[in-house]
Amino acid sequence: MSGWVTFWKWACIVGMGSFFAMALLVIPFGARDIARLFRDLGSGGQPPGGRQQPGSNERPA
Amino acid sequence: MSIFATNFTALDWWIVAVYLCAIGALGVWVNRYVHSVADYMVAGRSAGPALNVATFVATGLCLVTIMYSAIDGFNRGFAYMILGVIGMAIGLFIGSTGFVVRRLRAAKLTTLPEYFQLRYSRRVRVVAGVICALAGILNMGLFPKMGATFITYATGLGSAGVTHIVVEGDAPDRAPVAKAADPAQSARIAEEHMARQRATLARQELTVNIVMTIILAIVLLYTVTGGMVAVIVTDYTQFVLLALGLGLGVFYCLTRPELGWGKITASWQAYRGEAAFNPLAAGSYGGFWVAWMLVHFAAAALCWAPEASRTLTARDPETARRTFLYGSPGQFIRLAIPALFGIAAFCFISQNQELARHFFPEGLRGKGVHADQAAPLLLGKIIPAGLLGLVLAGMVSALMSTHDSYFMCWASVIARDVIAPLRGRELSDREQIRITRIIIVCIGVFLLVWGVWYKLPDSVWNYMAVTGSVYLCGAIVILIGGMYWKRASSAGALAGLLGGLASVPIVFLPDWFTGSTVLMGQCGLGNYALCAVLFIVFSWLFPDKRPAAAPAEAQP
Repeated sequence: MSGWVTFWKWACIVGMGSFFAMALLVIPFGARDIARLFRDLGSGGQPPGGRQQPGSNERPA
Repeated sequence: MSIFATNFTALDWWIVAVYLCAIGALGVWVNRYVHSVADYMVAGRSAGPALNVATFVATGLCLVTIMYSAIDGFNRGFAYMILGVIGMAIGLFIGSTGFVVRRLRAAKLTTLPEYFQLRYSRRVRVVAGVICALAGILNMGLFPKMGATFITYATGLGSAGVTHIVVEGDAPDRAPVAKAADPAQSARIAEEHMARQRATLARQELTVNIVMTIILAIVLLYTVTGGMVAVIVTDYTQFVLLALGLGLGVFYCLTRPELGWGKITASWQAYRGEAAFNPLAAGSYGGFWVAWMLVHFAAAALCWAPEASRTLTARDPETARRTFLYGSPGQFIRLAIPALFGIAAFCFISQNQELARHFFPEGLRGKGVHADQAAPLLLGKIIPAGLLGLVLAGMVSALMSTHDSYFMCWASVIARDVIAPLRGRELSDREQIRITRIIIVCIGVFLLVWGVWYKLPDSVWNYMAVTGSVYLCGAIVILIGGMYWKRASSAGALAGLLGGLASVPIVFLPDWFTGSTVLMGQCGLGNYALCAVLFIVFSWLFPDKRPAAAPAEAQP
């Protein structure tokens, strides 16, 4: 049973550690992506691979 | 003082209220950026990798995820965390290889059933849309109730009207041990006690229902107006708060003097033994259930519309792949951290006689009751005022971020994959958006009714898994088969999809069945096998007359 306790201890350290490290990166870069998203949507511009899709038969206003 | 009292103060209420107002206003404000149906439903496919990861994690980490993980953590200990390990492993695999997701994103779809029309036929798309929406809405049925339960007990609202401490047992059908010598007086005391218990339970139920209604109204407001742009932007905000809230929760669970890693593991070792740590041990989940979860998580990652929609909102196929890779730790923590809250709650409760009597009337080695109250109560008691408001705002975020994504996904599926094909013509952007908004409101009303009427099962996770199976069992088979097997036919796809409906009756079976991990594991695996067999046999027997489109050609 002590083997399982150790396993869960390290699983938590690795899993949670990598998540919070990822969060530290995602928070600032996500803010940058939001700014880009608004810029793309606001300009009606076409990001790579975006905004053309089936069923959309009206041009953006 | 009631055992349900927590550290939640007026300051915490203000924090939550300001947050709710801000998120609602933000969602309405971004409506100005919605110009077309692509903007409304997939945010113009403009989300960058970091933003996509944030929304991917926020969508998967609902308050109901926190609740069902905390419940299973409370009932079964560390063994439940095997789900987090499975989720992370599958995220790493898909993120490393781009398996399926790259091709899906390359096809520039808005919903997954669109692929089924391109690869098979319009009929397959409509059937997939109906089953997908049915499974998704049923799956979502417990979200508001579970979320409202968390808020009610973490804020101390559950203690409103509780004027006495429960002494012996807590169920309305159990009388307290009356000390009166006179039998008549004893009976009267018991009757009064039971009446008070019933009134308390009714008040708590009413509180939960009111909280549920308020949350649903706010989510409906900003999802209906802002569509997927609102969902993505609010999901990002919610990711930030979630990370903060979960971090604070873990910090206090591991640093409080009465808790800490050593004490938590020691209490589980003392009362539950190896079954609390080893998911394959006797008395734990068992091999069938773990195998079912392995298949189920893989299917959900690729086909479950809210998660799959993150593939479709990505800027390009590479971003779709990286979303899974970078989001894989999120797959672990979304299950492991809430489970840790439940696990810590067990340790906390084991040190308090009153709480132990409330949660374990048969003793700490016996079956627990009211498991849904344990984790929120723990957080409400160990996190200090002020910070508790932040944590709760994070949890409310978790509730809202999943609700909005689910609303958008199921409504989009019904509008685009059921209504539009059945009408036989393309709907205009304006029509699609209007229909989607109406469907979102209808789903909201259904959730209110279902949440009030449906009794919470013993294992909420098993309910979630079974309702998901209704769609996933067939969808994963025909998705992979369609991409990698040229002989796959429309008849086979229809048979495979309909095979998933075999899971519907399980939702209504009693707790002794749905609470058994062995039976559920066998049924779950059996349903996947059934769908695969139906798909292969019908594809062989009834091949399509036209040659199958190669995956690369299956693009609009």
